[in-house]
Amino acid sequence: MSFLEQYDVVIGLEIHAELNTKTKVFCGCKNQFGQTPNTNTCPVCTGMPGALPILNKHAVELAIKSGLSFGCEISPYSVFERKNYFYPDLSKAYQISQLVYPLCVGGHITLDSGKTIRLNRIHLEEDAGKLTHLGKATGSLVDYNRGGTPLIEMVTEPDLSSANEAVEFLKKVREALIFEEIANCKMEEGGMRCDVNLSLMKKGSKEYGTRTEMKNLNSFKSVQRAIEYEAERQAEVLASGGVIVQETRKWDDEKGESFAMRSKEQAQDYRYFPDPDLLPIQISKENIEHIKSEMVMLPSDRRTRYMEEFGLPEYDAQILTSTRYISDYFEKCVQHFNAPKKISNWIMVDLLKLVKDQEEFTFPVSEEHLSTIIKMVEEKTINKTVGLQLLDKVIETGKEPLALAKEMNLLVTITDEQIIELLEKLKSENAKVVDDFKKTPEKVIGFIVGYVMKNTGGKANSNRVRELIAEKF
Amino acid sequence: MDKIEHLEYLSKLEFTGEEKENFKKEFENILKFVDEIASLELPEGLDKDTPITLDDLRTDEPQASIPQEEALSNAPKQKDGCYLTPLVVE
Amino acid sequence: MNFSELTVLQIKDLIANKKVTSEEVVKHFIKVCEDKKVLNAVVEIFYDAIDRAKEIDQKIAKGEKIGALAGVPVAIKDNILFKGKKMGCASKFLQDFVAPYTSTIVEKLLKEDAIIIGRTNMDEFAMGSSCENTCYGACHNALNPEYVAGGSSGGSASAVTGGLVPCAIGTDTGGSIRQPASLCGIVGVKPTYGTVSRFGIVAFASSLDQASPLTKDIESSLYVLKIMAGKDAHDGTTIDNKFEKNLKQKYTLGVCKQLMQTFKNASNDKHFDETIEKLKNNFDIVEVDVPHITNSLASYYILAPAEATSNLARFDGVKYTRRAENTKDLESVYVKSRSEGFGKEVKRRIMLGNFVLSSGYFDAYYNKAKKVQRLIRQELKEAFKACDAIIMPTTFGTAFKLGEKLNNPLAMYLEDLFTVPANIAGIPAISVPYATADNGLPLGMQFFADEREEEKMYDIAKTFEQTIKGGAL
Repeated sequence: MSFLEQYDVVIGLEIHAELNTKTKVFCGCKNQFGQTPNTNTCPVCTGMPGALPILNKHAVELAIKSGLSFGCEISPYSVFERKNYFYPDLSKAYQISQLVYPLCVGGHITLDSGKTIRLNRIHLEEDAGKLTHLGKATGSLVDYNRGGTPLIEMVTEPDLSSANEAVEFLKKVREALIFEEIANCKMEEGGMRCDVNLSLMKKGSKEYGTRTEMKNLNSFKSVQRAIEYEAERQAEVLASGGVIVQETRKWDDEKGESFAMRSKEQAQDYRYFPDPDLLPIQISKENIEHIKSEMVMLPSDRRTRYMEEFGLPEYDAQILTSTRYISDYFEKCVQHFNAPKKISNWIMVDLLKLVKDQEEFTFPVSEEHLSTIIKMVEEKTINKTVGLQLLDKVIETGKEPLALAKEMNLLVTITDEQIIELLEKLKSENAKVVDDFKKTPEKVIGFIVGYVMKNTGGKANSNRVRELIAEKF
Repeated sequence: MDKIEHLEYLSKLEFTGEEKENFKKEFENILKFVDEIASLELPEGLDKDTPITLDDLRTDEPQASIPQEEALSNAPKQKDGCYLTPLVVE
Repeated sequence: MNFSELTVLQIKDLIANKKVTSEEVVKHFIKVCEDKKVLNAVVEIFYDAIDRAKEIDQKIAKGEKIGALAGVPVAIKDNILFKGKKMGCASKFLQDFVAPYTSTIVEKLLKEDAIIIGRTNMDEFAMGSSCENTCYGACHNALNPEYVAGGSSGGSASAVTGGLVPCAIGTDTGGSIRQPASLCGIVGVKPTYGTVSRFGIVAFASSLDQASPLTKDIESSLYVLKIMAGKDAHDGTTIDNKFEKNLKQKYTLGVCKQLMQTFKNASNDKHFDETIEKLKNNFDIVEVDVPHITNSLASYYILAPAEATSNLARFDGVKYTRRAENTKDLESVYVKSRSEGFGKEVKRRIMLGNFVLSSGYFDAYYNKAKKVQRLIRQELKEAFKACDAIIMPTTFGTAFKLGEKLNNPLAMYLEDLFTVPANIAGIPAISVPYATADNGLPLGMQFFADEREEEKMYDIAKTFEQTIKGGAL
């Protein structure tokens, strides 16, 4: 049995996400990395003497947007502070962050269960560089390409009580950040990572236990496993009469366990103080309104709309809102041709299979062209098989579908006269069909349509054929 | 003296015993002098500085970075295009 | 013609009017620098200045458009970056450092065709009031080598007064330009905070630092300052100082009650009172009340070390400073490199800064000092409603002998009492020579003006100079 049953698990998260800006937060170097070491740097992000940080306006706007997405208060007065500590990935020996006056305060996210998870704050800060450890003999390498990348840090209140809740929460955060194009949240690249603070509280008690911190978890799975492991570990320690030590632990995904990081001989004292190189900033109501006006409907709201207004099944709504791009694409198609379910089918069945990289892609056909093809199929000027051929050709040539269909002679071109002629021919050759039709039309109509189709090479409009059969028989 | 050692740790500096003794004396004098601040009675409303606005900030347009050799030009030790430090133990 | 006796404006005109060549001028000053090497004022001569002088001469010969300082030699303090040149902040720690980029102020001077002729001695990292804390050896006062030149821009001041250069750039955090200017009998100014870009100047206390010229005369001082001024995209704390000419026929000078009391308690000097009497013919003199101005110094010795300790943390033996030998791990690289690299005074201030920022002391010291700073700003703002400038001595007395105050840091700190309030309040201040004391050394008079009132302050300084020289107005 688990010792854990006697306890409530208390979890708070600190989530870091790299913002979608073109440049770093305090200099004009590009916000991208993975290139040759120390080629995406300048005096500012390498912390050279005399260099000064210049705050990126867009980074501030994106941080505010994240706050608005989660119902935070936006501070009218915000200050950047220096968090001082020596570490080789920190070029200035301080990180520019926010403490007393963060950009966004409060806010919350509601889980599917209806439980509300409160946010404490969202603030803007800079990322550190990258260290590569080569071993005792050689040492560690420092690359500042990533140093100065803008990050938001989102801090929750200790409202989460299970690994499942934590993961659901993270998924909701990620979805919103991607949707608002605030952050890419590519977890495997460290674009979103999470620190977990966890403690146990005796059931029925109101006193928090001592918490531990696990740093830099960068997948949902490792968050899940690390939380489960740590909760069990703490419960076992307590059950065996031990005490929880306040410490930072590192999660080893391969071993499936965490271990205490080499504790500093002295307690950390970050000596935060306002960065004198960066003046406080004032955020006006107009600034906030402007940022709000650029925001889109969030995925959960879009899902509801797709289900209620468009009558789509939840499964469709889920997939269509999995990224901002697919959702926007879908909505544009619907604007061109109001047949949401049909469009949804095409996107889910025929378009998504064309996409190789599920994370980052654009569909190879424009919304307008896809809608035109779907419309042609629905109006039966082509059938679905021809429609798919046409789609391939549109993707290949980029040409307008209708013009291309004409050019390729794909359109239904059989006239009413030709159909009537065929029907008359059938009537004269096969009297039984006429009789059968009079008695049980539903039993023979398929045969008659098939006859016309066979004799027109499938190019007749089947709807029209049915109409003419009703007329002539 | 514990405080002095904590400050040494935070400052990443080390002093000899004698230096520390001297330092402690000087430090006490300086602190006595700056302590006049701590005892001052001040009016309310002195918590904030004049802020700038969003329009005063930098627009998000890339500027040229510097070549790797320039970034590393003053590094006491380097390897493979990186600054080299003794092994960092986490 | 002895160029060493001429002002910046005189030299500029001679060169522009082709009376002399820049090459002749530059060669003259290089010769004087070499002859007076023993002063330790100029620590490196940039011999390529001669080539650049030749280029400027050619420009002039061809009748091309020339800059406002065409061919005029200017020396820079050893904490100002000029790409490809060594820059050491007078510290052992930076002895091998070559500037990887150029500061905004040097760019501006070069744009006006000035010739950067060398770098000047200073107190290590600009911390000191005597230019004795330096790895190059103490700087001597060119007027009497037994005496200090003041500090921290002692090298710049001694170089100008000794005729080694017509103009030298210094930096002023708590009086580091005005005090040595006063001790060397020349003109030194500290502009409104933000008037001059700090980009490319090694930061001491970022919220207080300003660079500006040291010159023989008032007119040249304003002329060079205007060239250096301007809002800079690389320094977010710069302002657009328009140097508005709010000039008057007759000015009101304020004598600060609190500062005068302090002065009289400590000094028997009669020159100040005698001078005020003389001024009554050309100025209205009023007494002004700035209740907390004497707390400026304590506030300064909290705020400046706090900022400095963080600014100097980047010097760690990893990126661009010397690394100590025989280190066993990262921590010892940090500790040994910094302990060997920094001098005594710098270490003292780093420790002091960490003290006032450390957990448990931050509110009592840093936050309180910040509030006192804001209060003093308000009080001075109020005082400038009653007067155009506040007049006071720059220092308690003349230059002191080398070594005299070296082992008494607190006595050294008191040197800054009259200069510090201008940095704390962010307002402009100027020191001009006005009398000779019994020891034959000069005394400086200082004027504070309201922010952005540089033009008025210079006009007052000129009127003052004419009055005490007995010249007609």
